[in-house]
Amino acid sequence: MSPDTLPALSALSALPTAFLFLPGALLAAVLPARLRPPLLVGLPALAAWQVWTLPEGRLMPLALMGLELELMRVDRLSRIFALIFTLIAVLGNLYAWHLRDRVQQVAALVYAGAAIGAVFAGDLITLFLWWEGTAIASVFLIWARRTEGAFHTGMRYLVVQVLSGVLLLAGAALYWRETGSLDFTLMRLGSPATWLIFLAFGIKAAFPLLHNWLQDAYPAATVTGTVILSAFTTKLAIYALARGFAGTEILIWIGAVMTVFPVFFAEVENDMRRVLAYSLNNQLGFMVVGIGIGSEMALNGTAAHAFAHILYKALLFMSVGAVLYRTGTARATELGGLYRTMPLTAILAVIGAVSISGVPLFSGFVTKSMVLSAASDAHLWPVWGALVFASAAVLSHSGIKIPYFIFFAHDSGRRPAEAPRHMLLAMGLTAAMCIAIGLAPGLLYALLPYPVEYHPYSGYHVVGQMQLLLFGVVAFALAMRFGLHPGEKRGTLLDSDWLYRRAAPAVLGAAAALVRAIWGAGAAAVGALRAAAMGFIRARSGPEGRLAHVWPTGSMVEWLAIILGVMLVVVYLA
Amino acid sequence: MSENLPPLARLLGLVERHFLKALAAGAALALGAGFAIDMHAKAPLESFGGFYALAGFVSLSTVLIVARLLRALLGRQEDYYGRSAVNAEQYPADQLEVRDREP
Amino acid sequence: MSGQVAGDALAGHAAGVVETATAAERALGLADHLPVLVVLVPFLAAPLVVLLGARRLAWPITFAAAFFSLAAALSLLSGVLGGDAISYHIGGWAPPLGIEYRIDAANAFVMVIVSAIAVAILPYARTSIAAEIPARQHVLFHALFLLALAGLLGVAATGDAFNLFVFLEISSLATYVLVAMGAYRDKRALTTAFNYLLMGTTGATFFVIGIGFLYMSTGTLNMADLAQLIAQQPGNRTIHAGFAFIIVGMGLKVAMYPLHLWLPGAYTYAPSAVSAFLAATATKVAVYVLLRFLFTVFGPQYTFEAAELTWVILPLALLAMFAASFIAIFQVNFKKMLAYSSIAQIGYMLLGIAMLSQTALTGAIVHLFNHAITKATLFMVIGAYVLRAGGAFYRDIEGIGRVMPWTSAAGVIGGLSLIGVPGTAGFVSKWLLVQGALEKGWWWMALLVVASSLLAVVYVWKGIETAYLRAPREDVDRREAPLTMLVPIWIMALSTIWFGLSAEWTVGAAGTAAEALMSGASQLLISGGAGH
Repeated sequence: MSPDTLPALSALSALPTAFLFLPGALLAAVLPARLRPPLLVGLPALAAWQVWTLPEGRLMPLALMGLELELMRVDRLSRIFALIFTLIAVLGNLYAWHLRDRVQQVAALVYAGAAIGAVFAGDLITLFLWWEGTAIASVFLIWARRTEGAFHTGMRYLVVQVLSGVLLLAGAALYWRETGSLDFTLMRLGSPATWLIFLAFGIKAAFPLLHNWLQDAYPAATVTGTVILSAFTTKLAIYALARGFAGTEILIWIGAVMTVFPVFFAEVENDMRRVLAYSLNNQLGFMVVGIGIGSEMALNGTAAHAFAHILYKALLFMSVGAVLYRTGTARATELGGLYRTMPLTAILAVIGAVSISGVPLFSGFVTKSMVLSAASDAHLWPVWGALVFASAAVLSHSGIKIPYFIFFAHDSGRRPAEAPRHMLLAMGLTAAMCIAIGLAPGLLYALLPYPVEYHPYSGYHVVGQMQLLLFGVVAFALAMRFGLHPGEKRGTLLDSDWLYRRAAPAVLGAAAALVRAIWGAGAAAVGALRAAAMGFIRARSGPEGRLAHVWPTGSMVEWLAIILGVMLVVVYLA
Repeated sequence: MSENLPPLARLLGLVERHFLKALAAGAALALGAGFAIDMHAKAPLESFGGFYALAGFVSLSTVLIVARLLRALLGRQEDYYGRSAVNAEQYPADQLEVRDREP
Repeated sequence: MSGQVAGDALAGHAAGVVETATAAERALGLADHLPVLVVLVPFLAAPLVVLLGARRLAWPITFAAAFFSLAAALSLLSGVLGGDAISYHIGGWAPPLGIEYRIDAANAFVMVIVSAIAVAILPYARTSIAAEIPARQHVLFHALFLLALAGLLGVAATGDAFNLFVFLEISSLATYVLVAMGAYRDKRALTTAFNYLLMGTTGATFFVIGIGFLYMSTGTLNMADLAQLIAQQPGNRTIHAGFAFIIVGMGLKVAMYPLHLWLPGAYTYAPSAVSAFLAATATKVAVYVLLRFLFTVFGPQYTFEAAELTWVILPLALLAMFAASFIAIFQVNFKKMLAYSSIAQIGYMLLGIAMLSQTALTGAIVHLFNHAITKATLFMVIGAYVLRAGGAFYRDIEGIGRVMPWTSAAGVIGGLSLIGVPGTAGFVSKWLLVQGALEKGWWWMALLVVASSLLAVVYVWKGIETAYLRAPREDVDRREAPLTMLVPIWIMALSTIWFGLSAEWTVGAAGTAAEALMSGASQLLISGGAGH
């Protein structure tokens, strides 16, 4: 299908992809409920086609107030990210076909559009605008849950996200002063400007200690909102890091820590969607390590892993979401044995689980191993060791815990109906893509930023991976058998959010109490004064006051006479 | 089984029942293969044919043990952040379609 | 009908006067009669509406007449934006004997405001009055509306002091009746209208007494002529007295604090469409008359330096800005709150006049326009509330933001403009006023303007809080306003944003008007002399 054969569609290439989504969102805001789902699925599909056919290059330079902006920088790196973003928007919105909530639907479109706009941004200002766009649009997917808890969580999420944007803007401004350029290209850490930008990316990429917005927010979003959320924000940050800080050594260590620490949290967390959020964080670690290594192989690995990860992570969120949709809960303690009545959802969840675990023939295997190989090629043994450990640990929470405790294990007695058809269709398509990538990795490799010389299906690699996984399962089975597994338990896990949800308010509270005591005395005095003043004003201006009388013909004439008198005096004296 | 389950579910039940046997067989096979073929070792220790089996077993055990400690250390009540925090609340039912399978 | 060429007068003067040529020289086209047609068409449409007596035809005729006036006013304004003035002689009688219509940037601008507001409000009024006034009175309503409109336009257009008084009375008398029509909803409208009649007539009487004094000492009623003759007798006490009477009489029509007492009641109890129209136009035209007399007839020199009038008007303006705002804060009726807010806003205009600088005067004139559209928006919003909730008290409209989201959103925009939030029309004029104060080095004045805007924040917030943060009442009609109201409301609301974002046109036109006024008597005096 060449653009020449479709003149109407060829006009599309003149429009930045993101600007396809914004009018679409406007349209979604006014369309009747019946027509919105087709729009939500069709528009990203159209965008995917546009991204696929776009030529490479800087397509839309824009000079604005003396700044050189670039709305559409298309190269292999931005294209693969934009492509997966459009695809997941199609799948996520298909999954949400039943939705009649205008707020979520508009937000989903704006959010996807902003994320894609940011990926194609060729300069830091454009990047900033879309960066904040994702923050603002996405919070509505959390607020759409419409509970008090979700509102507060959304607020926290918004503060963190907007903070990231503000840091980015500050960094961009400094960067501009330093270099005279706003071009968004490879940067070197060292100046305050680049550190600020790095930190901004780091927040969105959920670096250790900057991560908790993710685990806080994603389980609070709506069933369908979480699926959409899981795809864009963090992967946008991964793209930005790959673009701006490839080969920055500190990222290797940050990434290594990221792959390791969330697995413990994921193991004991009870809310399955939060388990997946921790798991997401762990997967981001692999990508960050790849960016830190910065070799062609590593960057290919990062891009490929991001692509595959978006799909299987969405698939997992979809399946847990389907369970939540049918049972009203995503808590491990309240679930179990659901395969009896939701077999299709169970099978699809298992496909997601084996994909993320890296079972050969599924997508995780062919992408994650690229990052591991890059690490071993660079002889980074401690990092490599961490990645091997993390690969096994992923199995524990995402590979086993999610499907096992929801669909198997003890029978919870619940007999929910199978997920709705459109959800099954969305999950089925996503699962099919996971399998397709696993079976024919060449398809994905052809899209990567650099030429790929990598063959995942060598005998030793498959055997090694199977050993790792199977013995991991053996360890799990033994732990279950002997009661060593931490098991399922209701509760809340403290994480870095404790610092701002509990510690900071406590410290501030103490400080505030002190200030309040001092202030109180002063305020009492001022208050008394003010009350007197207000009384004075109210007595005159209030509804019963002299100044507000409504039957004043006489007093009016009185005033007329007074003013005339004053006037005459003034005029005569002058 | 007294329940009237869809065929696919019966299949999954079958898998669940025979899972451990299959796992044991698969694990043994993978371990044997590891010693039988060249593992193209690059990392230290990787040349040992059972390296990945060991790594998998030890890693998972570590995760499970550390996780138990973590829960003891950081676990709190569900309403630790208040009764209306997301963790303690029910998902609003009006946005869901909670339904049991019709027998 | 004939005019005359004033070649001798034009020669050597920068700002010329475009006089209509004599019939002998060329045939007069319709366009040449625009200065009178702009007034005459609505004026004659009024009896036409009554004579036809058909309710079906009343609205279209009214709308067509108002629309014609708007088109004519716009065309006139475009003709005088360059700084020229058009002089038109009624019946071909040359001034000072004949009545002269003199169009310059200042009054063309005012005519555009008045006719534009009328055009915008009429579609809204159609729905609004259907709910508030019984059907048998609709024909009368339209006729009166036309008379009020014609009167206001006439006041603006005429260059003859007595003719001005006549038009003022035409519009005022029509207005009294329009206000009284609110009695079908609230009987208090009757007493209010009576009150308004007494006070308005007192003001008009003062005004006409002032005119009488002037006529006594100069023997002319033509404003340009008056200006020239007044300048020739600086020490004349009769003229001084006339001046005082005119200012006080017009001060009442302007609702200059404390001569405002007729206004809150009239705006509160009048039918909603009438409130919107009055709030947006009547006081604005009165401010124009004040401007015309202060600057053209008496001249800025006379008015402010000789008479030290600044120190009379300035305190009153400040008093209005604060006292009326405080009263507005404590109101429990939305309409009344807006009425008091109007008095405070008039304070801003008087402030701009009293500061006597090009920038401040531009600010005052722009505020005429910006406040007109802002208040029109808000009063129309209230009208929609009244239609659905049955009243304008805060307790009637609790939580209405959720029931009528579109109407309320427009109300919020109007409120923001009333405060003077950047991006709204209200900001532009307040900004100019602050600029004007700073130019004079009166930073305290700039602070006071900002401080009184903070009072506006309080009363606007009270409205928003009531509309959005309270639970909606159960007994109200839980529907959005009909489109016939919503569309005019939103046109107004969007125009407050439009003129807030692109202020070139308004500030440009007001700047030209201010320049013409500031250069004042001298220019008009000379061109006016052309008549002799």
